Amino acid sequence: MYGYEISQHVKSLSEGKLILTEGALYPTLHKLESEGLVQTEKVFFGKRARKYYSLTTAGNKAVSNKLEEFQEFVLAMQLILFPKQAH
Amino acid sequence: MSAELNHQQVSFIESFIETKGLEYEPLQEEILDHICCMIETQMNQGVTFHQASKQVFDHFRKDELKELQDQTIQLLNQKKWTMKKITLLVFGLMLTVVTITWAINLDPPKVSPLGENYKITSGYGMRFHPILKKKKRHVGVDLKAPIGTPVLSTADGVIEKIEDSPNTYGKYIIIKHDDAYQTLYAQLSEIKVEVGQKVKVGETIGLSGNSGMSTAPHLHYEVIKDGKRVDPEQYFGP
Ligand SMILES: [Zn+2]
Repeated sequence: MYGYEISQHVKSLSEGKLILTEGALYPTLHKLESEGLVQTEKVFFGKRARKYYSLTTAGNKAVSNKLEEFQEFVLAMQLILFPKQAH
Repeated sequence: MSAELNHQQVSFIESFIETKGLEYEPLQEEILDHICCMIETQMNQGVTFHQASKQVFDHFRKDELKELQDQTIQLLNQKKWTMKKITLLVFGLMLTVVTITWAINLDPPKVSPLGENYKITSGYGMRFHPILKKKKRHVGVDLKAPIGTPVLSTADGVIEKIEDSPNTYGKYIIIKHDDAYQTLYAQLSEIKVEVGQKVKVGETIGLSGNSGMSTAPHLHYEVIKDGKRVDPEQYFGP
């Protein structure tokens, strides 16, 4: 995915409620790239260059670690909020 | 067709970016593409280049671009930025980057490969094979299709295999949808995709034909779940 696509994707996923500004998007993407969490591929057309982002192996791992943390958090919340349903 | 800015229009945007003090090259070209995309999206909705570019220039009226650059450089120079500090925003962003791949990973086939109008000429299961003249298990369905009928991907996925087996499937395509599902489209006359290409549900992947061992033009379609052929009719939607 490239920058503009990501911003549109976030917008459509959140049904327009979440606007990812360029000012939040690009600095973060560049930082993630420098940390080796995302990798990029550049495609040129005419005067334009489009940078496609994808997760690296390290990035994938980071996301699944975070997801696990998040799931644990959700599970803990369920235990607190719906103690009867938990087992 | 979707709008694409011409050389002159791109140069116009480029000079706008320069006047805003954005000098960091890797960002420069990325923002150029971003703004061009913004304008093209507008133009696709019938707005003129003139109006669309004016809107965009309004959007970046002040020092937004310069700030964007400073923030990027500042963030890049931050040494203590560790994995633990991944904020919700960054995490969300990373998730978004993979969402498309994940969306692909979560989609079982859900429509017929010929769209809404299809006629099954031979169902899944045991049947008398018209050419081999014996009972045989039919591992897919046959859909009536005049040669040249567009064949559509039945879910988002990636083209996994393209092959030609003149004695059985003829020209065929296998699409990988997720860890569980694959679909197979056989007896094609023409293939419109390449191995590794991402496809969306409803996208034309080829044209039907009569290329393998068959009596009448049809599309042979299979749904493979965890490596086993299952009845595709379950996946033809509501
Ligand atoms: Zn068949």
